[in-house]
Amino acid sequence: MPATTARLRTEGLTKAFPARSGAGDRVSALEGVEMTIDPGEFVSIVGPSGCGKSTLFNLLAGLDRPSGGRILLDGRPADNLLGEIGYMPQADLLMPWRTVLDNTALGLQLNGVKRAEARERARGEFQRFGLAGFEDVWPSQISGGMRQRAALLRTFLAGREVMLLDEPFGALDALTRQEMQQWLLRIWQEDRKTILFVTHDVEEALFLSDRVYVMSGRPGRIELCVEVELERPRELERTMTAPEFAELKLKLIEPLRRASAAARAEDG
Amino acid sequence: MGNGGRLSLDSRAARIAAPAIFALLVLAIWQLYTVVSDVPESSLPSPTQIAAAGWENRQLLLDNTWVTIEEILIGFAAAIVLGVVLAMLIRSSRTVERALYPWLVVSQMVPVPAVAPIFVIWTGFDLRPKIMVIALVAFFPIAVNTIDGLRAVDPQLLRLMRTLRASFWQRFRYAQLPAALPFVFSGLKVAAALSVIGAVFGEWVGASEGLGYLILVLNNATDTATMFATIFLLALIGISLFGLVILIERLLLPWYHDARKESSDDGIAEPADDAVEIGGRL
Repeated sequence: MPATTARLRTEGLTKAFPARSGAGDRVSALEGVEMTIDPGEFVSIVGPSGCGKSTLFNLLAGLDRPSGGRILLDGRPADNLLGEIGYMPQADLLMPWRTVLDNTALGLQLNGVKRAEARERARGEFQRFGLAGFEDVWPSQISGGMRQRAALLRTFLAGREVMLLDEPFGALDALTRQEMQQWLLRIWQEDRKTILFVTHDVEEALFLSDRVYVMSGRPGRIELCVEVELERPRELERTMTAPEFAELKLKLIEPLRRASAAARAEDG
Repeated sequence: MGNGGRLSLDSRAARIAAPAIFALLVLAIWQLYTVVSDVPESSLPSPTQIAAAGWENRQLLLDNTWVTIEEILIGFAAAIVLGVVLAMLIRSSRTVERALYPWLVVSQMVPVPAVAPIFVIWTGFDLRPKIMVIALVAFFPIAVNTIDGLRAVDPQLLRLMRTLRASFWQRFRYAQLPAALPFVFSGLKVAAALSVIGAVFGEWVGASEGLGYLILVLNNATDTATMFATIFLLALIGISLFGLVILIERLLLPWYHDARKESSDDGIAEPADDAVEIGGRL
């Protein structure tokens, strides 16, 4: 028994969809997913594409109902998670008709905060999120990295304790990506929100996380769980060149390769 | 799309100058042709004769212009209401969509000018039949574009909004509606041109004033020069209405215009229709 109550916990989480071929067949997308995330932890999931990460996130975000098992939020079985957990999808989904500032204030506004006040609160975070000076431009006028930070700020400001980040840096170039990783760690260290992060980059997962789950596909299940006990605060060069880092990487790569090969075989 | 690269420096001037020079050239050839050939004024008056006739009858033309403008503005407004309400009805449920959508298309197979006399029988010779004709001609592009627009919102965005605890109404107001507006305006631009056609048809069926009515009268009097001046005024009304729609669009959707400008600078193809394209150049 853990000393503290897990912030987010899944028990035997299962999801099946009706098969496209019809005839009452069901395709299993998730099978018996067990996961624990303590308050303030940074946890990552790595897995090949199509391993059921999106299905898992949809369940956790309350956008979809599980077929079996349960999700516990702060120890309570959560019946309807919609709106309880912050969710940042892969695409930034900034509204082209709202300025960057108004986009980041969206969550506040939707929850009844007056526009002027929501804007002020969002404005206060612009420096920290590297967006200062871009309050009043359209999202189409800022870079990909800035768009992701704006989307993240929108999620942050919505004020949920748990945040799901679905490959937020997947579309960025390598250099921007590394900057964003270090920046995200800084923000996380300051706020200590609980973050569940999806990526298929092993190094990214290790650099950021306290724990990494490896998922394999069809049906999606947890293949491996690795505790990352690298010291914090972490620094890109120092952390990634540490011998422990290389060891952990080796530990993850083999099961991940097997999972990818299995996913490809299913596709072929 | 040729306004990137080497054209960018003088493209703005060229955009205005090129059509103007072309128009002057056409007018010059027209003028020359009426002088060198022996075509009678009653068949093809020269541009200068048209201008002279227009000036001479300016009071008559002006009086009738106001009548037609009033019809068009009211008819256009009616078309907007009809088009948008229909679109929202159709998008409100699958059942309504199945029941109404085919009939919406069928309604366009009915030649509106043929129906116009019936409106006159119903309502008489006043403003009403003209408004009905205009609304009937112009609502369709508004309805169809609004239907597409209401479908245009990214479903992922709606899901994100649900995780942000947005209510149904908030999802409509903050996501679906703004995503639909550029489409609505595409429809409005087409409808603006159609409403002028509607006004002329409406007046031909039964009227005692208006530019369409004036054309019939002038035709009987074989005053071809003034007829041409009348046609010119009708075109001017259409262009003005079109311009007004674009102006409102720019004020209401500044983000849309800015984004379009940027993407065309990058040479990226735009998914917009031709009416929008022409609009962007005015």
